[in-house]
Amino acid sequence: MDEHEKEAALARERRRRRRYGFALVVFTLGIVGIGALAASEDSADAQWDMAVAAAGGVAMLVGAILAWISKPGEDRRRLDAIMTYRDRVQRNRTIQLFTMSLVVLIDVIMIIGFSDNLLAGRVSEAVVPLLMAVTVSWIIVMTVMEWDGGSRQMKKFLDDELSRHIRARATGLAFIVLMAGATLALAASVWAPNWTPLVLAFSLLASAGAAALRFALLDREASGDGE
Amino acid sequence: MSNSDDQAIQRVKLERRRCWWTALALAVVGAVAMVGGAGFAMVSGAEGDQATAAGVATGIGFALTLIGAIWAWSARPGQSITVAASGEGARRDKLERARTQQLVMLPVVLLLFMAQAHRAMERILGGDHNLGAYVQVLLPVLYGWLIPLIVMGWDAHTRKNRRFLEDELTQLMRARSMILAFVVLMTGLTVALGLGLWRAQYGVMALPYVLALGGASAGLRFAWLDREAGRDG
Repeated sequence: MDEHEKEAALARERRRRRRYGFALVVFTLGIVGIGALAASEDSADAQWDMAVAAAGGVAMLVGAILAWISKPGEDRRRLDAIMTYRDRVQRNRTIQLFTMSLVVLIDVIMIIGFSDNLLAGRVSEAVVPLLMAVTVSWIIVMTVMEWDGGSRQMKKFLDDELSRHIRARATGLAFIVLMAGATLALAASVWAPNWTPLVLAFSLLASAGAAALRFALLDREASGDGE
Repeated sequence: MSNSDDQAIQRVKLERRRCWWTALALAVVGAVAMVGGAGFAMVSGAEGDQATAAGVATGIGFALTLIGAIWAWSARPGQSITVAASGEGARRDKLERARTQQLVMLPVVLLLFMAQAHRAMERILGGDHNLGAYVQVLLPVLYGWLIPLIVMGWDAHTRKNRRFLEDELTQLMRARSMILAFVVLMTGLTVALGLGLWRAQYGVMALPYVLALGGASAGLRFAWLDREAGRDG
């Protein structure tokens, strides 16, 4: 593959990846819509429910079809072949972080679905999404910090100057978000105690999501080839 | 005497004068608050919400007076100005040392305020919603915010002296201390959430501590790294 061909393949691959990401987001939103519908027990308006269910189903279908159309193909295989191992490992990390921010979105919706229980003070009924929020945010932070098992084995490929710089910036943002969330939770705990677990879970998720997205976006920005 | 020496002397003079007047103003405001608070408490008796507010005013006034007096002493007029200690290199050293001292002092003060905030938090949870208790809880939170702002270099003073305080080493130390602070904060919040699920009161009690610890760990870690880096050999 010569230089010109490689450029063209990279451009195509970039467009394909954008389509693929868009398809995943659409698919997730569809799941989220249907999930929120299932979580709300008493439906006030049957017609509205139908509309949400239909829109969710269509979104899932469209997302799935679009994802199938833009699945990794010939370009990806050829580009992978000339990619160094380090590039591949770092790209996987970026993809992982983008995917995890989608999981954060799903969890936020789940907690909103359970918020009736939380706000009524029945915390024990909403333990599962809260635990999931804690787990998801810790996994993300571990990935960003490269403390998880997979990253530690790959440390010599993942932990370079650029990664450290990006990590510092992502962590700074995440710290501010978390600090703001904790302050908000403190305010909530004084004036509206039932909101405290909700606010805490949201701030954990928001800060982890901010770290993941910031890291992934900076990483993509930094590698000029449009990864 | 060269032109730049003249400029350095002018700058030191200006700085000293500004510092002197600020310190005097601070001390006066503090003294007024102290006298006013104490006077009010004596007149109205030592019971109820107003007395608590008066006590808080007295305490803050005392702290302000003390800080103002120390500042004023360090900037008192009539000190000799050594030209060698006013140049660019010396200025950088001085600013960096001041920052490190600040980052040690603030967490220590913060942890002192924590003891007060703990009792105030108990009172608030007990249903005693008065202004003094809120102020006491707010203080460590404010300090917890102030320290990361200094570490990140977002406060007005650091921004003004950015060309002195912003170098490679600072960025490295900032990254490492923010990562530690973030992990501390996140662990603390997770624990607070867990406690909150078990006993809601404990979770709420833990929150000011978590905020304060998060801020304090950033400052102390930064100061520690700075000391390590500054050690010769």
